[in-house]
This record gives sequence, structure tokens and C-alpha cells, in this order.
Amino acid sequence: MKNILAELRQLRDLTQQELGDWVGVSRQTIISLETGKYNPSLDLAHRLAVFFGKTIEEIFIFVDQNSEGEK
Amino acid sequence: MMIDYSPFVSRVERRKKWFLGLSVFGFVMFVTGIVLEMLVQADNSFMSGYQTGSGCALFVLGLMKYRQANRLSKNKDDAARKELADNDERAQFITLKSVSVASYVLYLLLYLVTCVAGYLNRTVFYILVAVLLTHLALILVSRLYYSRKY
Repeated sequence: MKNILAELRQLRDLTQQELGDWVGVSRQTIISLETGKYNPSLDLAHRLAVFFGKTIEEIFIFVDQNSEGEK
Repeated sequence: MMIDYSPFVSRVERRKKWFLGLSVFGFVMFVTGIVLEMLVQADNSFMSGYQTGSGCALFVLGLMKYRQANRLSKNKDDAARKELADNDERAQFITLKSVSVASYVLYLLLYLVTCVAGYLNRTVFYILVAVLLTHLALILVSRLYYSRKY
């Protein structure tokens, strides 16, 4: 799953620690989310969407890995 | 940024009570170990050594954790940070994954050790089989419980 968290965070001029404090997770979790190593729970995705004033689908872009592999 | 500290503080207070209880439990185990050693002067006195040792360890661990929780209860920012670190969903995911992988490796090792123990000592063999079966039974019961709950 891809996401635009890093761009949104930079637009708001926030550090990863500050964003983590806002949504109640550690800085390491924000780093893993931004690099796409970790997919958030629905609860965390919702908190991030509310924080940035966007929908979950706008922030997290689902990529079907099966169809990507076929291309 | 406005943070509601009340849940963090109440959790730290609960933790303080829990660790104090652990410390008292360790002290009781330590004292009963010494008393048993004096009363039961049998060949199995090594057991009281085990009990006093583990009791002492629990007593010290409880006190250390109590002091840590006490320090956190005086600093709300640190309490909130510790709470966030403990309940971080990625950290919990990593812990669950590690426990899961370790469990599978443990079952395999336990099975192999049980096979070897069977040739050497029958009592050890039966104890290991009992441990293996009890653990598997507990997993089945938990799965049944949680599959009904969720």
C-alpha cells in the first residue's frame, strides 16, 4: 500500500515525532508508514485521515500486488 | 498541543499498585523459603534455595518497577511518552510476530528434545510431553474462546 503521508506532513511543516504525538504513535511507526514498510490499522488510518482533513483513500493508495505482477 | 493526561496518570497509578503487590509477593516467597528451609531439613532443601532466590528476584524487580512508575507519576509528559511507546501499534505488532515465530521454533525444539529424552529418561519424557500437550490444549481453548468472542 502506497501513501502520501510524507508529503502531507511536510506541507504542514511537522516533524515525524510531532505527527506521531498527534496521532498517538511513535516516531518509528511514522517512519515505517512513510517508507511503506508497515500498513496501519484502520483505527490509525482513520486518526491520520482526520488529522489531515482527508479521507483514508486519499492518503492510502491500495495497490493490488497480483495485478501489478501481471503487468 | 493539548494532551489529556488523566488516562496516563491513572494507568501509572494502577501499575504502581501492581508492582507493589509483586514486590510483596516476592518478599512472602523469600520469607517462606527461609522458614521452610529451617523446618524441612530434608534432601530437597535445594527447593527452598530456588524459592528464596526467585522470591528475592521478584521483590527487587517489583521495587525497581515501582520506583520507575513512581517517577513517571510525578512527570506527566514522561508518563504519556512511556504509555505511547508501550501501546504503539507497530511495537505491538512486532511483539506478536516475534512471540508467534518463537512459539513455532519452541514447539519444534520441544518435540525434538522429547524424542531424545524418551531414550534417556522416561520421567523427563512424560513431563515434556505433558508440557507440549498442555500448551497445545491451551492454544486450542484460546482459539475457541476468541473465535466466539470476535
